[in-house]
Order: sequence, then structure tokens, then C-alpha cells
Amino acid sequence: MLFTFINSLTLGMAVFLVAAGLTLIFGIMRILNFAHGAFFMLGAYLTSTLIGDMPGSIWVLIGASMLSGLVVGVLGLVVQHFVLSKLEDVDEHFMLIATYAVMLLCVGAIKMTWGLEFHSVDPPPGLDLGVVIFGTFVPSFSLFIIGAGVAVFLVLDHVIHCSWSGKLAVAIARDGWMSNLMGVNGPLGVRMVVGASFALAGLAGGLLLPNQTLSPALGDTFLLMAFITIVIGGLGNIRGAFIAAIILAVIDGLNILFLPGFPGVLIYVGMVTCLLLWPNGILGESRL
Amino acid sequence: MSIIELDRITKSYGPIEVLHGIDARVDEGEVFAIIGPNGAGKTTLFKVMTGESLANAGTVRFDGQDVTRMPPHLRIRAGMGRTFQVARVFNPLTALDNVVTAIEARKRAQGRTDHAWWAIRPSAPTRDEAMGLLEGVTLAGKAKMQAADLSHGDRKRLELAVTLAGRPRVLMMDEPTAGMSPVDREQVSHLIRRVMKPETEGGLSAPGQKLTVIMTEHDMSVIFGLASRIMVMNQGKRIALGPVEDIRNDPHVREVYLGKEDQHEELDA
Amino acid sequence: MSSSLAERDSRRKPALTRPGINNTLIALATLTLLAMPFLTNSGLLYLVGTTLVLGVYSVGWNLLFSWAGLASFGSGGLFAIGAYVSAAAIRAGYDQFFLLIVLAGAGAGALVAMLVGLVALRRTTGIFFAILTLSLSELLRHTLMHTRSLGSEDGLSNITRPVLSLGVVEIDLTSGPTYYWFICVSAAVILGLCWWLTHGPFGRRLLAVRHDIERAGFIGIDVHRSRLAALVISGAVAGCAGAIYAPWAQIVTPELSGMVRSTQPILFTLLGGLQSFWGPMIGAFVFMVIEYATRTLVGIQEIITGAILLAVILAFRAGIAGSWNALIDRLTERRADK
Repeated sequence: MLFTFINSLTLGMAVFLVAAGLTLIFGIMRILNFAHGAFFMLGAYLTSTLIGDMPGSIWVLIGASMLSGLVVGVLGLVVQHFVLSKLEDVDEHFMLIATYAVMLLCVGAIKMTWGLEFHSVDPPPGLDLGVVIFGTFVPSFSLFIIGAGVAVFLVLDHVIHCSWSGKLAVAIARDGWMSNLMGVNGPLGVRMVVGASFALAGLAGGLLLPNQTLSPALGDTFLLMAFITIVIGGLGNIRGAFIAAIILAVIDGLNILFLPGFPGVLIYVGMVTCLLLWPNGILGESRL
Repeated sequence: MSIIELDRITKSYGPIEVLHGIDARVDEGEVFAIIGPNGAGKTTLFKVMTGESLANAGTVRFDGQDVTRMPPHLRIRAGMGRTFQVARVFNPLTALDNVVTAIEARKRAQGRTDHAWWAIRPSAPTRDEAMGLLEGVTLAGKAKMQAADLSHGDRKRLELAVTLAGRPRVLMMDEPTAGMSPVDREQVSHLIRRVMKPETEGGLSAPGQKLTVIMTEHDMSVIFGLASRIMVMNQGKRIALGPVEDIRNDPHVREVYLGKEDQHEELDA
Repeated sequence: MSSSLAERDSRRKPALTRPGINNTLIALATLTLLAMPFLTNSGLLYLVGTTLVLGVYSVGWNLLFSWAGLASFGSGGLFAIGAYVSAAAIRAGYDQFFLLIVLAGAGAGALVAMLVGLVALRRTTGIFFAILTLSLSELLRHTLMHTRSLGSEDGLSNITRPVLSLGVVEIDLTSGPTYYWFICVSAAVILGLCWWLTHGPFGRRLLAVRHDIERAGFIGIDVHRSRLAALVISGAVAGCAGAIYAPWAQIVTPELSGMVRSTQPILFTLLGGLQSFWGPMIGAFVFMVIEYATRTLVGIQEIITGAILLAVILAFRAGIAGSWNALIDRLTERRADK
């Protein structure tokens, strides 16, 4: 039972890692980024190329993930410059479809570069075993993911709510016109946040790489779960996304315990219920 | 006899009360103007009457019926019509189809749909009525134009035709001349006067229709030219209500407007 | 209204008007489609038939999007429902009542759409409606994947094409070409119905609601009911298309309810032209050609599709139909000026 919940919590935190960037870009640009899953995948493929089948140590994995995150973040700036910034005043549906097109481009590039075969990567030494907690075996890689999720949350939360650049971003998200008036460089702020959002996608891809089967369909699964997370949490709300990820984990755990024949079904039931009960998410919509 | 009765209307947004128990009766056939400085609660009161926002306490009666909690489309069906500060018409449709759609909606609501169930085009009576209304607002020549391509003034006229297509008994006009040049304002005033007159005398009201107009307005000359009675609001309260002459000479009203020299002069005008 | 205007115009200059040209094109396209079995091999015929079904399904989706202003990301779920109803009924041996089965598929799609709409439309709009429908179709996909009686992940296969029994006559649809013609006829019927609905009073009402929902309420339109009706109709079309699709493909899988199927009509519509009745159909066939031409190039397919979509969004927002009409208008105007 504890084992089940640790597993589910790992899934929840993995999803949160993807959702964090997604909710960030929604907060600042009001777009639901379909391409996020594809860039997440790109991060995973880049990392796998950097470290091969077997990462030398935890630090190699983290370092390679960060490097991939950086590359993906730069790509995000390219996307922002050539696509997103051109579509700021049009109907939200166009924006949605534009990100879908970017996703197709990215997936196509991945297929061309890495092919269709499945790759898999082992956890680095030190994370490939497990520890025993309260008499239950827990894979240490799960603990690593949970730790990474919590760490990313704490860093983001701190940056957004306490630091100067976070407050700047919040100001832009609240009122672009007003922040321009006050001499804050709006477009620069937007670029910062968009870059950070994509970088987070790449970072998440790298960190979650071990134990995944890497295939071009990987992005979709995570993207959908991340959508659900940020919608339940309240779009653009990072704390909401964190709480929603934990709720998802609990629901998934219950699913495995009580409905083992239908894995993954309860999450959607929970999501639909949440949406209908709190149409704006449990913590409410937030512009960052 | 009064067609709209407001009974101790109170409305608050969160902790802030913006309407403090407004009472008013609007008589059938009059032009009733609501004026007051910015933030006086005119628009809120207006929206409480149309159903866009709901009062926290008090009742709104329309023709004797309690409509306090009724959604807008049912109030419209009961005989209200509403125009907006910035004209809102249906861009994807032609001018004619804008009016046709409104007439069809009215007939549908009354259960008197007169086109065959399979017909794509509007019935002849609907079409004629629509053309008549467009002629009334001098838009007949632009009937086939997309509403999106009409000029600002034409959109305003089209919106009036669309609203009149619902055969309202009460026409609610929110700042009908906002942002207009003096010439355009005069045209709109003229149009409203025509709206009040029956068709037989060159007006726009359908036979047997006795129209009441309730409007909020900033421009004093428009109001003094049109209104039969005026309600003055300030800080969510009604501070005066009466015929135009009484309002002009009301000391309390002058006091409210005293800070605003231009409008003070207008009151004297 | 525009049609009566068109009639008057065509009387004045009978030869080259936009409606004239377009109607000729539609007629030519119809003839080509009908003659397809004589023109191509069975592989291509299968592709064309599938595209036709998907085109009809997308026209149904666009009825919801371009007319009622609701973007559903879960229409694949409704398609899947129709397909599974059809597949299950045929495998159970009711294939001689195939017409009824198709109607049942449409009914199932409509019913589910109505249930969704009753709960969702009052509470959600815009992005939330999109995500809600997306997750509902995913819910359906996961449920199908784990329902053993419906074949789990493998779906239902070996669906035979039916022999229709209409009392006195029997129509054998078991061969490829005959079933293909059955698809053509059903497509014509469904498209005719959709055309009729979108161009009459109901269509006008929906356009009003799409453009300005609050204003629509202020001319006495029950906006909630209008949107619900559009959702139900679009659900019926999706279910119907699914039911026709099942015996054509002879296999149905949970993937029908997946995101790919749900986003297909969006891409078709956008490429073909928003606010255009035929747009989704045009888009479906253009996509078919692109996919067919790039089928062997791993990765290039997505890149080309993505690039085209981006180009449409950034440069030709009116899509093929809109750009075409603008072009013809310019050309005919120039002729008229001379």
C-alpha cells in the first residue's frame, strides 16, 4: 500500500515537473501550449544522447538535464520570436492550433534525428537500488523524482512570489499595458518567462529520462496529464499545480488499489469532477 | 400606470455596496432618464433592470410581474429591449439578417414561427418587417452589407433596428450618444423621438405599441430634449426624481453638480 | 440571404461569378468522387473513402466551432462511440439492419453529446470546455482499452461489410466499390442536412450566439439551448460517421477516441477555411494528399504538416476556401471593371 502510494506520488511529481513549465507559460501569455510535451521529449532525447545508455552518476544526469533544459529554453525563445509573439492579438483558438503545429514540427524533427526505435536509459549508480522505509521497499529513483519535484516547486514558488524578477513577471501578467507604462520592459519579461517555461520542459525531460521507454509518443501521455494538473490546480497557478499533482497521485493510488482492471481511468473521472465543481480550478485562476 | 417598478434595490460587489435601496417607478410611454456623476451607480442600476446583474435585495417588477431573478433572454421575451454603449451587432451576418434573426427569435419565443420548417430563407412577412425596420433607420440601401463592414453610426442604427425587431415595450438605452459628435447626437435624438411615435405618424412604433424608453446619458442637451422625467443618482442613492423642470431647479442636484462647472452651466441652459 | 444575392448577381452576369465557379467545382468534385472506383486501385480507394468519412465528421465538428463558437477537443470520443456501436452490432449479426445501426450510432453520439453539454455548457467555456472534452474522450479511450468484451487494446476486428435488407430489395455492400458508393450517398445526405441546418434560421441564430453571446441573449435567443442543440447535432454527425467508418476499416480500436482523431477536424477546418461550410472537406483531402505523398518519409510528414499549419495561421488565416474566394472575387471584379 505504501509502495503503491510512493509509486503514484512519483508519477504525480513527474507530472508536476512537466506541468510547472506549462502553467508558467499560461500564466504569462494565456496560452495552453500543446508543444510543451514535444519539447519535454526533446529534452529527454537530448539528455540520452549526452549521457548514453548509462549515466555515470547522479551529477552527470542532473548536469546533462540542465544542459538540455538550456538548449530547449533557447529553442523556446526562437518559437516565441517567430510564432507566439505574432499571434498575441488573435483568437485563443489560433494560438492553441499554432502550438499544435509547433508540436508537430518538433515531433517530426525528433523522429528524423533519433528514429522510431524505443530507447531506454538506466538510472545512474546510487539511484538504481532502493531503500527500505517502514518495511517497504522504495526505489531510490522514485525518491529522486519526488525530491526533484519538490525542489523545482520550492524554487519556482520562491522566484515567483519573493524575487524581483518574479514580481516583474507577475506585474506583466497582470497588466502588460500598465507595466509598460511604468517603464518595465514587458516583452523582455515575457521572453524570460517563456524561455524558463521551455527550459523547464527540457529539464523535466532529462530528469525523468531513466526508467522511461523513450519513444516519440512519450510526450502525449505526459502532456495530457500535465494539462489536467494545471486545469485542476487553476490555470497559471503554480501552487495549485503542485497541490493538483499530489491529488492526482492520490487518485491514481486509489485507482491501482480499488480498480486495478482499469488503470488510469479514475484520474480522468477526478479531473472531470474537479472541473465541474470548480470551473476555475481549486486554487482559482491566476496570472502567475 | 407604471411599467417598471424598482423597490428598495440594493446591490453590492463584495463588501462594497454600490446601490443603497433605490426606489423608482417608470410610467408607460415616458422617456425616463437616469443621470448622475461617474460612479453614481447608474450603470449598475441599469444592469439590475436588464438582468445582467442581480440585485442583492429588493425587487424589480416589469408590468406587475416580479422579474428580479429572471435571466436577460426571458426579460427580453417579456418585452424589454436593450442597446449598448458601443453598438453590438452580429458581424458575421448581413444587416438584413441581423434584423431577420431578431424577428425570428421573437416569433419563436411567442410560438408564432411562420416559416415552413424546411425553409432556409425567412418568411415573406419576416423579410418585409425587417426591410421596414431597416428603412426606418435609413439602412435599407445597406441591407445586404455585412454588419462588420458598416460604419460606426450605421452600426448604431442597425442595433436600434435589431432591438426594435423584438417589439419591446420598454427600450433600455445605455448612453445612446456616448462618444458621438454633436451632429450624430442630434441624429440619435431624432431617431429616439421617431421611435416613440407610431408608424402612422411617420414614427417607428408598431401599431398599438406604447413604447417606454429608459436611458442613461451624460449629455444634458440630449436629456433635456428627450426626457419626460429624470432620476438623479449620486453615490448609489437616488437624490432626485421628477419632471425635467423640477430637476433643473432642484438645489440638491445643483449641489451635486456644483463641482462640475460645465454641467452646472448646462443645468442652467 | 447571401444565396438570394447570388441569384440576382448570376442573372446579371451569367457566366463567371464566384458561386457559379464554386458550384461547378463542387459538381466536378462530386463526379470525380463517384467515379473513383474506376479510376484507382483498392488501396487508394480505401484512402479516399476514409477521407470522405473524416471530412463529413469534420464538417460536423465545424458546425460546432464556426457556427456555435465552441471548440471541442473530444469529438474523437463521439466518433469512437458510433464506431463501436456499429462494430458491436455487426459482429452480433444484425448487419442486415445496417441503416438502423448507423442511425443508432448517430443517436448514441447525440445522446452522449447532450449529456456532456447539459453538464458542461453551463459551467465551462473556451479553454475549459476544450480540456474537459479532451479528458472525457481520453477517459473513454482508457475505458475501452481495458474493457475485455470490447477487445481491450486490440479493439474489435473482422467487422464484415453488411448486406442491407430493405424489405423487398437487398443491397450487397460487401465489396469495396459498393461500400464506397454507400459512403458517398450517406455523405451526401449528412452534408445536405448540415448545409440546410447551417444556412437556415438555426444557422443564423448560432452565428449570432457565436459572435456575441450576451447580445444574442438580448434579442431573446436562448443561447444555452442553441449551443446545446449545436453540440447534439455535431455529436450525431460524429457518431454517424463513426458507424459508417467501422465496416469500411473493418476494425475499430480505442485509438479512435485518442487525441489524434480529436484534433483532425481542427486541422482540416483550419487548413480548409474557417467559417466555410466546405472548408473541412477541402482540408481533409489536402491533408490526405500530403500524408500520402510523404508516407515513406519518417518525420518529414509531421514537419510538413506543422509547417503548413503555421503558414496558414501566420499568413492565410482564411484557409484555402477563404483565400480561393478572395482570389476569385478579385479576378471577377477585374473582369467586371473592364
